[in-house]
Amino acid sequence: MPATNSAPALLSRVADALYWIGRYLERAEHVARLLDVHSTMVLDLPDGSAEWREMVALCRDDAEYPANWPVDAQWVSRFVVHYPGNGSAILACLTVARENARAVRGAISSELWEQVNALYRAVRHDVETGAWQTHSHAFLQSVKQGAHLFHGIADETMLHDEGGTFIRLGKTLERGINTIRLLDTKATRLTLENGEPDLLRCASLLKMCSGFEAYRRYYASPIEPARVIEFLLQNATFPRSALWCIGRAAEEARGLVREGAAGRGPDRTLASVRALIEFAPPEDLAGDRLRGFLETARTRAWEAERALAHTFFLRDERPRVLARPSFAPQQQQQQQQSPALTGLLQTPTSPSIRRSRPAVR
Amino acid sequence: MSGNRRADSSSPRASERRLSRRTPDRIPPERARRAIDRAWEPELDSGYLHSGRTAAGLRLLSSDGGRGSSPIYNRPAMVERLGSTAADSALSDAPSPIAAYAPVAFYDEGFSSPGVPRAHYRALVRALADLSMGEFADRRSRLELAFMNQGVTFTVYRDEAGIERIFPFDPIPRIVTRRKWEGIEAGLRQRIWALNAFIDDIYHGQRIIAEGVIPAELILSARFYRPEFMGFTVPRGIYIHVVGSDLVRDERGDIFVLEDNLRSPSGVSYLLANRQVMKWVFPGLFSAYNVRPVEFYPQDLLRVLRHVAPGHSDEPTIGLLTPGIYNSAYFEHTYLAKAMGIELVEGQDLIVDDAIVYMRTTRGLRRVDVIYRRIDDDFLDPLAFRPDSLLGAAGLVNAARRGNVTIANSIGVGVADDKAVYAYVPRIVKFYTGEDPILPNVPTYLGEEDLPYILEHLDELVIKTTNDSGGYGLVIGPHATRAELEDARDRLVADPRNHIAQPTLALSTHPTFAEDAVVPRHVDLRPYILYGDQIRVLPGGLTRVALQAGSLIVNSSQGGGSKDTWVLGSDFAGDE
Repeated sequence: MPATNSAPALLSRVADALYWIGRYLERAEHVARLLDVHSTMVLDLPDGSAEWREMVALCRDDAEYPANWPVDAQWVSRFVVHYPGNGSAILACLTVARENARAVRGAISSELWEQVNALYRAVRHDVETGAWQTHSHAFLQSVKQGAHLFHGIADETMLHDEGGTFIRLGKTLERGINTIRLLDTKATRLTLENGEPDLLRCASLLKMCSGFEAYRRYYASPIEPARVIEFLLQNATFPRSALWCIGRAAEEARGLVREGAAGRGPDRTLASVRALIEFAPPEDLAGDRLRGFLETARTRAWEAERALAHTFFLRDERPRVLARPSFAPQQQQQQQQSPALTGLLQTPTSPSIRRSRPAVR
Repeated sequence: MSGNRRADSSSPRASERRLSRRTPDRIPPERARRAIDRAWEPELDSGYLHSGRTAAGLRLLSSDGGRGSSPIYNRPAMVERLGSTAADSALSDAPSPIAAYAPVAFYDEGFSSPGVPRAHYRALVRALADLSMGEFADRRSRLELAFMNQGVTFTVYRDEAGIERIFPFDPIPRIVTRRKWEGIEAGLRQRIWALNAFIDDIYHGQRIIAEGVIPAELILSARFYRPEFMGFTVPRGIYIHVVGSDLVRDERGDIFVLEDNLRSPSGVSYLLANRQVMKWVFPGLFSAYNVRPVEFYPQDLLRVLRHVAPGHSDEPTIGLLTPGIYNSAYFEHTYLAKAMGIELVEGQDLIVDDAIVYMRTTRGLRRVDVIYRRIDDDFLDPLAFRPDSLLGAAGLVNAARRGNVTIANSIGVGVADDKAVYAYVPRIVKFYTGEDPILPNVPTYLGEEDLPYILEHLDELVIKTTNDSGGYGLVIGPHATRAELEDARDRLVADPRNHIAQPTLALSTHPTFAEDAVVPRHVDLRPYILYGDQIRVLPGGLTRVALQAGSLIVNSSQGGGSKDTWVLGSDFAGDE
């Protein structure tokens, strides 16, 4: 195969789909872990049923819990696993991930496609047969493992080029946002009324990020709410801390930006979110100020999402070409561009994408 | 349903059963033979069976009445037990279903008479006979699982979620001897070369019309004739880069071309997937034969596409243009794009500027040199053809006219897919090659020329409209109801130009696993031909099989399935 045919260009539509595959698989895994940990936790509480309201709150804003459903283990689980009105339900996430994978089958390895497809089919089968309820833990475990297997297969069977980067970008960004969101809902309840740490809730919050063992190993001391927050937000080595996730996303984004354009596109936005988290003063992470801080972080992460879409995907908008300030001499032999296309190619909004010339190869 | 199957075939119990299986006690050959004879008897004296009566004949084989009381025909009980997960070794040891195969009075590809396989099928029949009913059913479910997991499926959109089905696949392969294949190959080469010359002529000098070989009105009225492409010259003079002709055999075993299919024929990926899965699930069957490989096809196709790239680029960028994931052939598009390492593009990925085609990538626009399109002319370019099409790219056709991009297959080649033009193909071959055609046409009556004859023999003929595919617009006289015949008569009289008639062919049959028995089913063959620096015929083809008893319609859209097709690389002693 000649080198130029496997050259770095990736269709914008494909990049978009890969990014969302990464996000939705991560979301499915996240939701599965939430439900698993939560179901176990409520068994240890005197009034477990009240806790299910919190589980509903943990689901994303876009889903409305049906008014006539009781808020208990059975119904909330159903809502989280396969309620059609919940776009973040496990089945919905896997359906979207698979549809996206189907749309870019030409660009992912057969092994990777088979994994997405098999995971979707297994989950759908378990939902249809009711097996997800009878063996709830095993079911949720299989979702998590299926997502892990997906990333392993992607890493082991695909070119380590832009395609994989977009998958990882989706994964890390989604994960970082999920951690911030989880803290936002849970952080206020980590202390009991008498001022003692609520060990059960602290532990379950850590477990929801599969960080319980990591926390113990890192601190090797009794659990303290302030440290839990610090660990989940700012730990540089824990792969589900907000800092690690956003930092990794920023690195991935930097790899995508053309030389010369670094620090002016989505990589910049992401890096600034990373810095915001990394250098947050301790007083911002305690008491009443924590929520405000988390709110800011979420808003900034959301801006980064928009910057990504704007720079790389742009399905409905007009095409544009990334700026290359130091145009090499060979650019001159390119097609002279017609005025009509020049108009189409210009997108005035972002400083990084102003130039307009087809990148002819 | 698929999920159940998955669980069953991988359950420990199933594998245990296979491991602990006793030596199967087979039905003694004489007993099987007697049973075959009994099932066969009622039809023995009927001689040539018209397809209208065949249905009854085949029903006889598949109903209890026809099977008599012999234990091996006691199917309903067996089906029930096999369907459940209960391990019953006695039943899974039931003899191979091929032991009871009885062809009906058509040309049968596998058997020359009941119980007597043709020479090149003997080893296959022996190997299949070694598989018990249980093993056979188990392997079939493995085949289906493999297809399902690979997503070799089509989607039925009945509810929001969509139900996925695999294309029915029959595990008993069709075998073609080397000698027979050489004839087919030579015939196809000749025919495709001539058709390409014909397209070139039609869009340039129209010598064939001037010399009175084919009437001008016929061409001018063909639906896919594109007068706007007159004078359009394509790179290296190749218009039809990929062709998938349909071949059939009649009751004497003679081969005919039924259709030429010059416009993006589909199905080759199923052929390739079938072969792959057969190798996984029935590796033993291959050992007795020297089967010619088919795996080179994507690379050969890539070579063709590079061969016709416009001169401006040494390393052309090639895209496969698909209508998208809702197209029934989407699996094929992804399969081929990946096997060739080219981009799978949709219309929304393309943009044309100053007659140059680009695709939108994360790094900006990238020039596209060759487009292997899998959408019809009509949808290619809203500026040139249907203005409401969102599947193509505005300006694409103009880019092709300017020679900046090559479109394969070229635009306007559908003129030769018109079934009235098809009737002239033997004359077309003779005109351009000076030779007689090696592969004959099915005799064809043109609505315009032979209307009285057609109307008189309506109930014996197959009536086709000239520009439909997929088995649509087809009326099979002997099978049709009175109302259908009347309707066909009205349509013929109203529009004779767009109808043809052909005799009802007694298509050859092939041993096929259906209704838990091996039964004869009608088949055809679609070989794939590539036209690049030379004309290459893929050694094999998609054998399509009509899974319903007596049915002659093999199209996947209408209940057809497919088989792996083995072209042998070495000679076989004995008959074909």
